[in-house]
Amino acid sequence: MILNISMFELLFLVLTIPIGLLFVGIKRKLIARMQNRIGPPIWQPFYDVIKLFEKRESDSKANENIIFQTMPLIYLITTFSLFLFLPFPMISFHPDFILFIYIFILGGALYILLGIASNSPYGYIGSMRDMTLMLCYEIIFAIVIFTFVVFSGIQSLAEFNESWMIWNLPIASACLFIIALVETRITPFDTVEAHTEIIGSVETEFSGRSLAFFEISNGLRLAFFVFLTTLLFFGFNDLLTFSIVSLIMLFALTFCQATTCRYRMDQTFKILIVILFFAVFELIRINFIVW
Amino acid sequence: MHDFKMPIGPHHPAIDEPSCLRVSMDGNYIVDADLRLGYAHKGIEKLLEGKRIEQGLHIVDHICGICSVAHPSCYVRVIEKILNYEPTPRVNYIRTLVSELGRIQSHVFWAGFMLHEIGFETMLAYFLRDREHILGALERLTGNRVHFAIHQIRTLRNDINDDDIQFVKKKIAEVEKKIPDYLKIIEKDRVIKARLIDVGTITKRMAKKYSLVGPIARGSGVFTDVRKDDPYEAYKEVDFNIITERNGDAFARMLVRMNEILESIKIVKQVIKNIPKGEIPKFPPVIIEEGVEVGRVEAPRGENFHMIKIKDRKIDRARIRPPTFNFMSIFTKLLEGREVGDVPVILGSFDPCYACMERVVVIKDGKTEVLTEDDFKHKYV
Repeated sequence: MILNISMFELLFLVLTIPIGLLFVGIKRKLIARMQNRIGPPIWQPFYDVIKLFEKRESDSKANENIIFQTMPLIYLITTFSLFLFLPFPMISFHPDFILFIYIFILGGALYILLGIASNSPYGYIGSMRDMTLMLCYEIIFAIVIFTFVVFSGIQSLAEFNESWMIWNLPIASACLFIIALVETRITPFDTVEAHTEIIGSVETEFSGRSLAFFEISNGLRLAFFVFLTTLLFFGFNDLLTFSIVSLIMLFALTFCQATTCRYRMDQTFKILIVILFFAVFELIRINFIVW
Repeated sequence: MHDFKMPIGPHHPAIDEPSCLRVSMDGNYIVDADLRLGYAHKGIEKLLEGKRIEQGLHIVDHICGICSVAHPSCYVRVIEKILNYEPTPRVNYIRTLVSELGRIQSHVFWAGFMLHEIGFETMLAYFLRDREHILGALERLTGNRVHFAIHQIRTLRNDINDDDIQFVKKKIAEVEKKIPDYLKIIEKDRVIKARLIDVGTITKRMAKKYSLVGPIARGSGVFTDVRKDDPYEAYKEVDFNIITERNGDAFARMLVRMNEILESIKIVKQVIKNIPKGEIPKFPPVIIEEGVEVGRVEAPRGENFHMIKIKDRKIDRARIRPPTFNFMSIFTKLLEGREVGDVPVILGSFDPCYACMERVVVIKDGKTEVLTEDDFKHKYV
């Protein structure tokens, strides 16, 4: 495992946080324009995060819990470290792709832990829902990544050097897009964070700096999935094309949020089971082609 | 995960008015639900006691912000019954026009809010945009946007002219263009159907047993509508249908309300076409020495009932039973065995209006007393 990061890559790594927040801002603005509203300024998430850092944390009973206090930061770091594994010239970190999947699942597990530690019924239910859905979507994610890796004959996503994989692996691409919806909490699969049902879900009890970490993590998660889908579907030619395609991907995610409503918990689970079946089917199909 | 209780409200994104619903959970499913009210209690009935009749009308105007046509309309109907007075046709027609516009704005708002509960924020924004046309029309007719206050006993607060009617016509045409498109979206969207069908099902028998009224009863196949059963204002002279659905679930209620918007638009168009020329009568003082009468009108949510007893030219006792009162007895029963995700859907499909309803809690010497059904009958019937 060699860590050789150039200056440009380091710059990119530092820039991911503002890019994530900017993506959230663009998403909110786009949704507002689709809904015939003016919407907040694009810089609103930055203002929110700065304001939250200045605020004191609320005196809830959960605040005595060490997990409740420290885990948001660890969750942020875990989410941030996902960017080390993005394919193409961004960061040439060369671990096995298995490690990537483990780090990804670790992020989900920390999210569940935070919900239980927050000592709130809404947090419990959010965690419970995420726990149930994780059975499906993490497995689908692992299978889809495995499919991409097997098809291009590499051991690490960093060596990924294909383009227009969306034509070669259409079903896997569709599955990955749906997982991106589940992970970034976008309708119709935002069951974990359904705010009209369970208020803020896991984030209900968090305030001040912890909530700011959450906001940044959500931005990072959105940016990560936009970059991952863009890279795996279309490949990387130059930075300009990549940025434009990323924005188109972000638009696609936003469009999904604006035009659909939310599935109930059990319905989401059933749909994810069907998607799991499709992901496995694609993996089997690829194996016949490769071997 | 152990069993626990989860509070839904009084502050919750899914409910627009304050109520505390405590649900006991077994895992992800609801075992028992307990509805606590009393957050929006204003003491309307007590406020009315001892007031002059005109003052009473002013208070009744302010009971609710969404049924703000139904309550004064019902009050005026009761007082005119005591006076034994039949309003002139022009007054009746204008009242009908305002009633129907009020119904449209209430249903449009509800439909948007219902879709917001299941995560369809875009439809909420679109419905609110269309509601703005109706509010604009109502503002032109009455001068107000929320509490319209156009009703007066024997007459209206202000007359309308031909320009106003042309304006309303234009605005209604814009809404009429959009509503069928939305209805098509609701009928075809798979996710909406998955969330609403077979949720909160009320059979026809249950609807009759719990004496449900309005769109909820009509969603279960019960033909009930005060506009047909006991016509008032100008409803005798206009042609419209009662919309019913058989299934009795949240989706049926959605369809009933969406189709009722179209029926109301039909009524508004007829009223605009046939409105008699002339002037409305002047406003004479109302003098009633003694009398008691009951009356009902069809509010957007169902039958709205007023009983007014007058003694010495003042209101001695008022009883107001809004439609939401009937739904609350069945609400908690429907929740048992459902998921948390269904709570906003079931509650939303009832279209509750607590500001109208809350007057069953009696506060005596600082102690809260919640009346049982028998106590209630003993005291008030």
